[in-house]
Amino acid sequence: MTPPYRLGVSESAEQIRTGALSPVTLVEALLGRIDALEPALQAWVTIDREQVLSAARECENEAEQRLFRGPLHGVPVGIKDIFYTEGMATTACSRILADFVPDYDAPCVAKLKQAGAIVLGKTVTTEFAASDPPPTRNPWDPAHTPGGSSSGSSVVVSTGMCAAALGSQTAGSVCRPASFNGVVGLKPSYGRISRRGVVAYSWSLDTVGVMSRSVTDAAVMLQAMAGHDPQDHGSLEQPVPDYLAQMNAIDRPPRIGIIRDFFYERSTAEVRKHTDEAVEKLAAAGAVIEEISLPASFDTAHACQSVVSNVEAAAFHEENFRERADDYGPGVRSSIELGMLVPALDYVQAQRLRREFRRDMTAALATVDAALMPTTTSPAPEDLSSTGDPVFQVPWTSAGLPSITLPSGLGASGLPLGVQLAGQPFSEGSLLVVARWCESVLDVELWPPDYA
Amino acid sequence: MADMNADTSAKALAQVLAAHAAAKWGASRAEGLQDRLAQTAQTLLDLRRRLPDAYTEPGSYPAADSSEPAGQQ
Repeated sequence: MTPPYRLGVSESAEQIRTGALSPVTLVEALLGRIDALEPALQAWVTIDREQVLSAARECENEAEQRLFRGPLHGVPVGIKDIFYTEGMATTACSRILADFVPDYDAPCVAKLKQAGAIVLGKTVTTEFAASDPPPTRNPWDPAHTPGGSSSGSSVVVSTGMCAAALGSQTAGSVCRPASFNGVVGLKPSYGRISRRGVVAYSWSLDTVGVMSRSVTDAAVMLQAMAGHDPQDHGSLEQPVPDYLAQMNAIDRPPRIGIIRDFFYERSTAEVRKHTDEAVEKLAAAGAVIEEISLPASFDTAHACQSVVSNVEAAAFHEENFRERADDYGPGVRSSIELGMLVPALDYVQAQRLRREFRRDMTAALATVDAALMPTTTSPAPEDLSSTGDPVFQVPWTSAGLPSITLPSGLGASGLPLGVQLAGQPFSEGSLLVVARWCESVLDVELWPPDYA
Repeated sequence: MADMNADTSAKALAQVLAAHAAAKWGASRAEGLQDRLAQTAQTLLDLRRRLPDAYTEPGSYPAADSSEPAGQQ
């Protein structure tokens, strides 16, 4: 019998629904695992055991009466510590918000609860989801960064402390740490999931995402959270398709566009070879592979992201920064300061260039179901002074296009590698179809050896 | 405010930014930001040399009814 910690979101939910698994048993198993692993990994900020067990008992009582709140009934999830959780501290791992306890749930958290999920606890983020390294350790090798900013969420999922967790991406904070820890990371289109009640870094870039151990579980989580929020100015009134139905209706191998420009130039030889081998496997299984060239406006994507995120972070933090600059970590502090120095015209021009890039990149993806590239330039670097390079995520964040990373194997160092897929705006359905097809062909499920 | 001329050198722009930083937070803090100021100056110049056509509006928010970007909603 599979131990509870190895169950995914869908498996846990199914076993709870059939009565094969009790939500209390599941929660107790995960809390026990957290007790055992947390001292070494430092992935959690807050866990309210009483509240978690109480929620599990409620779910159990309801399940015994065949009453199910939704598809996540009784499934524990981790929440990055920038998401508002009613009555539970939301610190953004900062001194500035050390005592902040929200009086409402972020709508995406509320939607997860409505679907039956249990908030297991708050996971470590880099301070304000910026670049200062976290205390969290990479379970594959503690001398290597776990990535960031969604460091805790990636680690708790990769080690079975819970089956799924929320993250957010302003540069590369979902897909990069997911890949460094060997799990699936989904960053939907900008505007797909409400950002209300999420501590902002950059309003026009911040995107709520998901870490899980399978593409199907990422789809289940997305389904629960997606949808328009009229109180979030970045949220869009796009219809939300039935993602699982779309995934089950696949009738042909996908057409995949490999992007070698830039992504291969910036990758190590090991990553290039690994990605080529993955593409060969996909082609052998029937995928139609074509090469995609990047538009000229791609050259501006990273610079625009940098300018926009710094300026918007400066605007968000202006009031606190005026009084408490010394309470900010060195990385986030200097980013705020640089944002305060950027002329308004440059900010506006950067937003205009982002718009141009989004248009051009969307057109470049028109002939394929998804684009594919390595997720990171290398496996997680042996460097705890940074969270690694987000350079392969930034273009998709800057353009607001959806992307997903899948674990695709191990490098020579024994650390995970991944492939990243990206698609057109609001094409999460077809992106998930392609991702699950690739997942089944590559057939890679990774567990850190010391935590399997 | 910093010189907006695209012909400004990165070094000159970094000096302008450093002067603003020193005025805001003191010379010591400006000195501490030196490397990142140089990077920022280069970034700004790179963008100034690649401006889109005059009819491209700012705004990163996608339109609800198409894949084409539109103004903030």
